[in-house]
Amino acid sequence: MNAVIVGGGKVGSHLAKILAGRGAKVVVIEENMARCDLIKDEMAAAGVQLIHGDGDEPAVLDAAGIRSAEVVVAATGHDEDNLVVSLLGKREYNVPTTLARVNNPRNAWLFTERFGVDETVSSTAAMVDVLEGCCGGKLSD
Amino acid sequence: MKIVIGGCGRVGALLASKFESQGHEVSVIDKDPASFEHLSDAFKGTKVRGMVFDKDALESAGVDRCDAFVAVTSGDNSNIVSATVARDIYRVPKVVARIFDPRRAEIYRRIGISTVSSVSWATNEILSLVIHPSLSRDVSLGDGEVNLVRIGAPPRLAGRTVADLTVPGEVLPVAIVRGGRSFIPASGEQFASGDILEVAVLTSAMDLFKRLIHP
Repeated sequence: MNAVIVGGGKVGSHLAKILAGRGAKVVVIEENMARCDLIKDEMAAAGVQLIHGDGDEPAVLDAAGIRSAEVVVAATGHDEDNLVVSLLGKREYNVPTTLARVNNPRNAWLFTERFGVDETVSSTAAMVDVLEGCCGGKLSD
Repeated sequence: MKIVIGGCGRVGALLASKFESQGHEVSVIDKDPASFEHLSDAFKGTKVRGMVFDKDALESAGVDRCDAFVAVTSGDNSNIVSATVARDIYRVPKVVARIFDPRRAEIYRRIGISTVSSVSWATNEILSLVIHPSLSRDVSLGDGEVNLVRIGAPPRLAGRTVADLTVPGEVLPVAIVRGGRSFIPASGEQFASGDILEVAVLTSAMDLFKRLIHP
């Protein structure tokens, strides 16, 4: 599987290592140079290609091989950037699967097909699911 | 009209006062309340603090019952997201987004969002003023790819036809002002001395146009 991950923060870089460890060909795009320096050895050791650049810039996405990617993960810390990455991935590059990270639950309503988002990951929503599981599906008394 | 402006920087604040002076009802949204200081003291509209794509902020600003939405924050992605939300979710009839990056502006134009790329526009404008200061430009269209140029017909053009001054896709005389009245000429129309011409010229064909006029 070819995966492009936009955002090399804690979420993006860990995901990249895990996917690469399971045999995927992974490219991470990170716009912050200092962050790139911080993770470059770790990424190289895991066999992940790291690109310094703006992940919502078409030229950078092209360089990352988005045209042959099966999955794009929008994992930056900014919801508007994640929405635009998904929108570009789906509408401009026809990537089969787009996965986007929701940072602020207030913005969750935007993460839909309208912005080319197939799947979302939101830590708040995930916690709610877990709690519901713990409480036998009932959060109310 | 009721107009919502997302982003209250210099452009947003100036738009707000222009719209208001023309009698429109204006709301502005900005995440930073200090940005409202850009507004003129006379501003009577609504100021909403919040992200420009936040549901509550948009609805407090009245996006669900407005006639136009303008996205002019300093972030291209915020502008793209809020413009898409205004157009697709709130069905705002007129939506315009300012996008700095010209290549991105082109993509979003294809997706169907009206975009103004201030970078392309300023670049073309400066280019024209530096390279072709002798031509008087009435209007630059779109991001400045096409200019309407006004020239007095030089004597050597008298008796030549509109077709002689036409280069398909690059130069097209669109109107002639003769004796104080304007008309749209057919291709066989002959120029007369004293004519003022309005010519649509592709920015990249300005040199060609100058050679046609003053060989």
